[in-house]
Amino acid sequence: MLLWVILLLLIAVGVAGGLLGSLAGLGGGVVIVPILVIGLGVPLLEAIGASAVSVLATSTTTGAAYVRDHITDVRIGMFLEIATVPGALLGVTATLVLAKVGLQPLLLFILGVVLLITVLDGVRHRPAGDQPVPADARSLRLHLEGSYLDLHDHREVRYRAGRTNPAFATMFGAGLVSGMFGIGSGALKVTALERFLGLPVKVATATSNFMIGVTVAASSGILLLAGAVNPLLAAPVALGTVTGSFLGSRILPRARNEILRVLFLGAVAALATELVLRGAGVA
Amino acid sequence: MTAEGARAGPTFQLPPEAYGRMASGLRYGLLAAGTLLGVALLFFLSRHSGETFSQALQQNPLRGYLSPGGLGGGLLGGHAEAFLTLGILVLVATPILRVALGAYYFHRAHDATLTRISLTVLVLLVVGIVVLGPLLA
Repeated sequence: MLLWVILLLLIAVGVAGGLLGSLAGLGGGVVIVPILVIGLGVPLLEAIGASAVSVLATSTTTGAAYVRDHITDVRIGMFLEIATVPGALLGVTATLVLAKVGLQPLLLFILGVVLLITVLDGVRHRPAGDQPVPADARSLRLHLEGSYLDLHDHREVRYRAGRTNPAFATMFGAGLVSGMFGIGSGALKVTALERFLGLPVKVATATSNFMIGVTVAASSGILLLAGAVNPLLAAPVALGTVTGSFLGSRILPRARNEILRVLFLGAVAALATELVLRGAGVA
Repeated sequence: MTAEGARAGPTFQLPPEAYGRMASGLRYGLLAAGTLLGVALLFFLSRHSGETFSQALQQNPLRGYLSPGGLGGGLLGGHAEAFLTLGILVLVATPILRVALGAYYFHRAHDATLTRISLTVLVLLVVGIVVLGPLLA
């Protein structure tokens, strides 16, 4: 097929990934890698490289708005990046080494399992954050606390983080998964920020987005220098994903629909199952 | 959110201008990267319009432009591939610049602990990319 036709198709994949990812709250990465691998027959490493670059672009777009609005907790985000960045460095190293020794099927299998877990987490209706969490010695020492203006309730919401140890460990895991597969691991990051640290939902979402950029920059940089980022894949997918995410953030809050969300999660689950089967040598 | 949190005294966040600068840095970085990638992609397409996707995919066009010399020469020679490489480099560098800005503003706020934390993240990022990238190529 001619190059320009495929480039248009890749932009469309990016737009769909960004739009649907923001609808389901999972981010674009979870659909981009499987679509590129299963739908377009792109080698796994280059699909991961393209996804990492597009996640980087998306998180920068949304991250800038959250930082401008003072919802992001820069202090907590910076502290937890000490865990996510080494996790991402280890993850991307593991992927490149496994690919080099011919273990791509194992990577496909693990990616499929990770996506299935992400879908299950998306299906579960978790209670909203703002749960009381006891502050620990580290959070007190580092002053991991802040406030933001809730425009909906017209009040200043103050918070103080706690349970930094499990949050730190979860963030390392999130970085590892993100580095391995070029995805944002936003679900894991929000879990750590909301459930362990006890941050309000809005601060958790904004801070997670803020951290995704730095985490994925680590893996993207290595993938780029290792020759695993092909701009003919990465550039159109990234441009499409940014457009899709932008449209999603503008349009979808009004059109949010539970049935549509479940359908999307079902599609991701089907793609993930296909990856598991391919990895296991069944498909 | 803790009960203590609700009664928290002064917060230890960065000054408002730091948020503005960081947000602007992210926005301008993305704008620069997006413009470079979009224009270079069109330029590349105009020169390789008859090529098939599998032909283009087999030869990663970035390979010759990942060294400073290769990139500089490509940019001066007006090669679309060099501009694509630069676009992706700017995209990768944007969050790293944000960490550096964070370190600067924590330092200005006399917050030694967060300055050290930000610098640690910065060193991990730069050393990780510069050392591991070529090693794993």
